[in-house]
Amino acid sequence: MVVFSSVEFIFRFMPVFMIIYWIAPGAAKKYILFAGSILFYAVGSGWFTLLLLGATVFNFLLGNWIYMKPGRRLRPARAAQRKKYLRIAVGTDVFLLVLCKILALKVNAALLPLGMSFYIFKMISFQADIYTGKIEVRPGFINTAVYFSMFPQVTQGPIMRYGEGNFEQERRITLRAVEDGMVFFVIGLGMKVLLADRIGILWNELTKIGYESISTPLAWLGAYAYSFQLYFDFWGYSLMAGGLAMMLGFPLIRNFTHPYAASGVSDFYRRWHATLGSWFRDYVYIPLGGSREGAFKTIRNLLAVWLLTGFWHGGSLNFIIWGVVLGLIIIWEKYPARMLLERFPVLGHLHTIILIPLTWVIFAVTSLQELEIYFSRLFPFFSQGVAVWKGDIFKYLGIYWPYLLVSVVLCVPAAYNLVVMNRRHPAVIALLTGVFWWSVYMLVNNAGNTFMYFTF
Amino acid sequence: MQKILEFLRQIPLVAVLAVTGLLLTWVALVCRDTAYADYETQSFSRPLLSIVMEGIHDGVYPWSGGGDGDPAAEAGSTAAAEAVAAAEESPESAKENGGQEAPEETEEKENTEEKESANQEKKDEEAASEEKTEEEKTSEEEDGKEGTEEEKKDSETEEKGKREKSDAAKRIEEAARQAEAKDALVEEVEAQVKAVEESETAPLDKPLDPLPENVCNKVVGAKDYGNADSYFMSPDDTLYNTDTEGMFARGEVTYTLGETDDSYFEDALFIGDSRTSGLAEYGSMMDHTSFMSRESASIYALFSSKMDFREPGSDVRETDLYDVLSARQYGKIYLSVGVNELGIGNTYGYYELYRRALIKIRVMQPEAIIYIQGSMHVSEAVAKKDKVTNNTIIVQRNKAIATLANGYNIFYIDMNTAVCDKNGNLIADYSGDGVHLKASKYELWHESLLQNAVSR
Repeated sequence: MVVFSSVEFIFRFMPVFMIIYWIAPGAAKKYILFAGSILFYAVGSGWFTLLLLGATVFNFLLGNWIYMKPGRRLRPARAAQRKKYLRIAVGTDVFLLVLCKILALKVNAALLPLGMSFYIFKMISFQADIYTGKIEVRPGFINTAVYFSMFPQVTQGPIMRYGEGNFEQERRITLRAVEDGMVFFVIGLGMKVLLADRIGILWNELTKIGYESISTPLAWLGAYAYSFQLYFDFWGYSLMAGGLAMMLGFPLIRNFTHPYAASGVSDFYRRWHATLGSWFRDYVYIPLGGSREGAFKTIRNLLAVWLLTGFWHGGSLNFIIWGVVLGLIIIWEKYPARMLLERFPVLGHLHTIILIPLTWVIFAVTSLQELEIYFSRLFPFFSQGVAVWKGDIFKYLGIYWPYLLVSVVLCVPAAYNLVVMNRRHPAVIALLTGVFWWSVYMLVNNAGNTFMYFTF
Repeated sequence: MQKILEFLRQIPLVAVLAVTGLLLTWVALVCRDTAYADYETQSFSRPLLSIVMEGIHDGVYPWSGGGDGDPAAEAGSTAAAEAVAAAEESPESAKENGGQEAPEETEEKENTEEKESANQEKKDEEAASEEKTEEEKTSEEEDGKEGTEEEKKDSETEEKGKREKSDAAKRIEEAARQAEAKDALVEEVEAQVKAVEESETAPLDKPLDPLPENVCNKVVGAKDYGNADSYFMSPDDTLYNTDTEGMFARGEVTYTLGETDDSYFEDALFIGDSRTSGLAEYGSMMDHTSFMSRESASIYALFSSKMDFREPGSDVRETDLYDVLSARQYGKIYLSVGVNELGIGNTYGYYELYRRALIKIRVMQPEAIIYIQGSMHVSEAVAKKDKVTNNTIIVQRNKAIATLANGYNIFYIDMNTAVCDKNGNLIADYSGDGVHLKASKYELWHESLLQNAVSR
């Protein structure tokens, strides 16, 4: 049920909850949302709900101790006390997350509670925003609890900021928001079920064959296929989450802004999983000094951010390498290649669509040995491969070309925007209705796939 | 009323989804005891309308009426229906299908085809339906004629259209003729199979003595991890091969397995599932051996579902086993299925269908040596975890089909010795998913085939 793209969620939890929520009086909505979210989380992760609740109470209390009215002057003792509380709060949150990540890595993957990487990041930003005065009104318990646990975001983000949630106002549900929310939900559902899950089968095929035996064209096709799978899996999820939140009366949180149309890798990461990128920018990069203290420190800060980003995705070495490689590419873009990229913007686009899929391969293949094999197939200068069947590319292109074609089309911002802009047009309504029922058809007749970002 | 309409106009997508959802639920409610009588409707986690979706997947529609019968009749001769559809499809309509809907449609078609053919197979198995076949044939003929007449009327309007249409009409006629020929072939084979089955002697109540050594491979055993679902197994003392006369009977002469070279496979046909596809693609036999295989092939739909046929020197084409086995006589037929069936029926049911498939093959290929290939085991990880896909069930089923060998022109061979560890588990390094060999390991299977061949 915790997977949005499941029939239980779409036909049981969602309609029942939404109807109760909509007819409830404005003041009661947040209590209903909290109760519903906890129920949702409990169904998905059982006893870990207690950890979420405990962390919620803890962060609420510390946040309240840190809080002060903006513009007030502070005694030095109080200032020091606030700093101490902030350290305790953030330190505890980080400790919990790191502990669970290490346990998951070393003992059992099931020891990482569902969505913890996301809700802990919300908690840290909450404390920091209170400390810096960005949160101006003292957050009440129920608002804090709803912010941390709200079901559209608790499993995989987006990492909304407290300030973006309009928590101090009474929720008003407009028909327009409900309709738009549903539009985004259906688009996201289609991306997940009809594209990502289908293309995902191709990646499984490559694993089945064994990387040492794939032809070089197939290795490249695999890299792009995995890129598309991850993109539509996570963008699809983000649209569903955004749509659900809209239907609950929250503003739309954008997590993806056409990353594959980016002018460079650093631009790509402003557009890809934007709430994570901006989190690292605001709570790690800038506090470390950002780019204000000279090239050396900027490079250090960028590497620190990307090392942490890698670790956030998983403790295994491939994620660390992935993060560092991205950090290095971004540094390369920022310094040596800057002039070149500014003069020839097309180079930036080109290197984005070539380099990014290669970095996703590092992301996808957790074993270093296998990774080496995969890259030796991508760039077959040093190895011939074993039992390679040259015709493999035609077989898989023959099967997957429609999905890949649709994926490419959806990477063009204009194509997606055309649908969103005309979302009231009968043709678009008909298209989305088709997408919805087709997705349901696929869900009913195939065992559901969870989202890829569930494991982070 | 005005107000309601105005309200709905503001939320068009939500309204359309709600209405279509209610409509599907209504259909499910009305037809739950007729068309969908065989479907589970009690599950809380699944909405009632999911039976309509499952129905579409299985080729069962609200108007299909109850239980069996109708859907099978509708499936009729799928070949004819498809040919007609293909003939009618003008280039224009193909163009309209572009974009997002293309992948969906192919998928649906595949799915329906699969089930339709499954239905037909069911019908085949039930046999004794000569009257029905007659009915179908006449109705098909009528359909064909009607279509042709209509086409003719239309063609009077435009010169260019006329040429196209008459082409289409010709193709429809041709398709109808082919379908008729096919039906006749199927009928004839069925009649012969029936004759063979009737000529078999009554079963004995004790197993026959095993065949002498080296006539067949020993069934490779495997460690039982105690997690096999007994629902899919038969009691251990089940008796299988008891024929003393007929095609499965043992004669005076037996042949032993020995070494051979690749020229042996020049007149061989390998029939099987995705594993056989892998052998074709990666076993370095493609340029001198014929293969008839498809992912998800099983003994249940061996003859009814389309598979990919590869002959040396020609492209892969989609066809069915009747066509392939009636086109020419092979010297050897290798059959390898069994994994996709693990979650269907029990061992005895599998054995019965396997036996029937062998009779069918023998009727169409009277001189061929038939090799029953034991299913390859799965890896320890899969075997321990999976209640259905595990070696306990695979070994039991291999033992069952091994009894069908007669040492004269039907042999049992088992490649598991080449790829399994001492516990009978598929060696983990040999497989990407624990079920299929990696491309680079198909050579082991090929080698095992070279070592275990009968020369008469």
